[in-house]
Amino acid sequence: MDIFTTLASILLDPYMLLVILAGTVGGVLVGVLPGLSSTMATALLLPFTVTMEPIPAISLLAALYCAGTYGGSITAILINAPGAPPAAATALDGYPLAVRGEAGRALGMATVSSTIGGIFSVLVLIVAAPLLARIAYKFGAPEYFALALFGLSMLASISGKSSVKNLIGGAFGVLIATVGVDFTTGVERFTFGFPELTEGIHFIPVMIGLFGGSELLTQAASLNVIYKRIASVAVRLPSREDFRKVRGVIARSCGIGTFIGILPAEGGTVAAMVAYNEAKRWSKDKAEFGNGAIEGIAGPEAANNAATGGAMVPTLALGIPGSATTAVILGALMVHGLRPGPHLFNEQPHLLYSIFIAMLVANVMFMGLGMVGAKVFARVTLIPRTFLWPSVFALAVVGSYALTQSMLDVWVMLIFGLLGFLFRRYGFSPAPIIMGLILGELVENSLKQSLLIFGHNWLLFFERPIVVTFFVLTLAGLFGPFLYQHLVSGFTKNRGGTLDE
Amino acid sequence: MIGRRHPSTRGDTDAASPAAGGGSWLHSDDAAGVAILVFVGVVFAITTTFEEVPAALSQGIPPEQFPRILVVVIALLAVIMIVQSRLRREGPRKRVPVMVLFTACLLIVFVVLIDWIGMIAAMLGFCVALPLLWGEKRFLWVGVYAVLFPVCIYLLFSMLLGVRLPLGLFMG
Repeated sequence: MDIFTTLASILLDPYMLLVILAGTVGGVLVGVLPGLSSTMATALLLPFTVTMEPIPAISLLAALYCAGTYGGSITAILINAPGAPPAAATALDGYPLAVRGEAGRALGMATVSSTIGGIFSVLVLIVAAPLLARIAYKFGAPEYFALALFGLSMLASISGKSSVKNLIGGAFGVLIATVGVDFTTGVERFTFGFPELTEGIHFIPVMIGLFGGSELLTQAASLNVIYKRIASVAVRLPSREDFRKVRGVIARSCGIGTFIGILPAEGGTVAAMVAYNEAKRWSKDKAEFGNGAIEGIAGPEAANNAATGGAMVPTLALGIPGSATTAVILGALMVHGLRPGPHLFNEQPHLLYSIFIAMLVANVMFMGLGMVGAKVFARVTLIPRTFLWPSVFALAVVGSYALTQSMLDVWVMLIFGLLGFLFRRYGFSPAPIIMGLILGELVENSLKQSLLIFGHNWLLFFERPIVVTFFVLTLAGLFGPFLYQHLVSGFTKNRGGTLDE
Repeated sequence: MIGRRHPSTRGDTDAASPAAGGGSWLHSDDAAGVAILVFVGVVFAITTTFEEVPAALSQGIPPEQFPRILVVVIALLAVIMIVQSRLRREGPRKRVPVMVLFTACLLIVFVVLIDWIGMIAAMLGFCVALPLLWGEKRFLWVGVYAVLFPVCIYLLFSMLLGVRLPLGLFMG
């Protein structure tokens, strides 16, 4: 069954269309609500999808991912509070434009650029993922070890200021993955007498706790914040003049977003920030940025949605998550008994084509929903936090329990929720921990297998060209952000400017 | 976005500002680094308690070695973090508002109660307690919400998805 047959079968299947629509509406809703992100929503929804067939389950999560990234722009523009982190850059110009009475124009531009970025990246995904999988098909344990190491090293560049903290988070995640029975010797590690822990700590309660539980406590710390809403107006399509102004920005941002999305661990937030900077750098009217430049909306929105398809490339082709949300989707694939990676392309082509099509359809759907219903979606922010967050936590509890019907999972969720709040408070993002947890097993097992193959001669790693390439990239990933920071601070000191400038 | 004072968060944040002397060393990156070093020390100690591997199975990496590598990596990174924090001369963070501590306690009580009175009853209590704790004054809404939400959860999970929610010691 090829991709066109899959497209037809999905478009003619009311159930699949309903699932994708549900994912899209749900995604826009969680994207709109500040504090709720698509990562948290996919983690919360994952236990509910366990009873579904793999294709609708993963399609639902993929649609939610695409639409959630777009949804953040609505509140970024209307209340100056990005509904999701990737929309933070959109608020810089979206809100000033809305204050000027041009909210409809800003929302229209965000919707169209998001759709273009999203569709572009899915097309890249359709072409690139099978190609990458074909290359990865030749990978052995040493290559996978080097690749997973590279993926973890990229955590350093998620945020330059807290590179070390991201790496600590990643290593902590890998450490959590060592809980349970060691697969080569059968020795129990960190199980503390709990039989449930012999199979390891299940990553879903950890994800739900780190994203959902910790966010609830963060909300408790900011009860004094209220949002001033701009009265929403009808969304309108970008004018010909606006489109002429931003077409170059959108094209560039599509490339930037997809490329950054493909890099392991880097997601839409980084892509949007880079695209915003590039839009400003190439603009003839730099002074307009920060005061309502239309390019300042088009750039980040095209990029953060382009990152969604990009992030799915390493997730599906290599089993290495491209972002925090794709880490959850990777987890969902594993829960459904599927191991993402090159073999998936041979064993489950229909599933992969369905994911591609679901993402494509979700992009078209959220464009329609955004153009028609942005006003309605914006009203979701009126739900009082005093009712929203107890519901989120109650769902987190039931979701954690429902997976294996064990109270231990609920406690794991709660402990990681409390820990997650502390981590955030001290500047540790939850995403690297999840990445480490997901990649942990691969890192350890591939290292052990490699050393058995090499007869414990570590030097043999360096006789394999792909491994050496990944090691070089790992070093670049680890030290690149520090060198970059050093260079930039040196440069700005010489120029007498600031880093922000 | 504009700010408004919530009664439960007011005193804590102001009094805890570094300028006011409320932000103690405990709220700095140094403290976080030290906590990480203590944690990895404990983890290392636990790795010494792992079972001995029979000679026939000891060809590969011993089970304690990989966690130990991670412990060393985390410890090194924690030291770098402490050095970086000193170089940046960042002040300590504000204290955690009391509301967060109350909320955290409520979450723990909720989970403890599940074992005692069951999921739905505990959820009902939680759906009353958290909105009230967070300053919700529309009591009728709280009541309606606290009844309707757990009922919806019960219908969705128990009836539709077939999940056996815990009934608790008394009901079970």
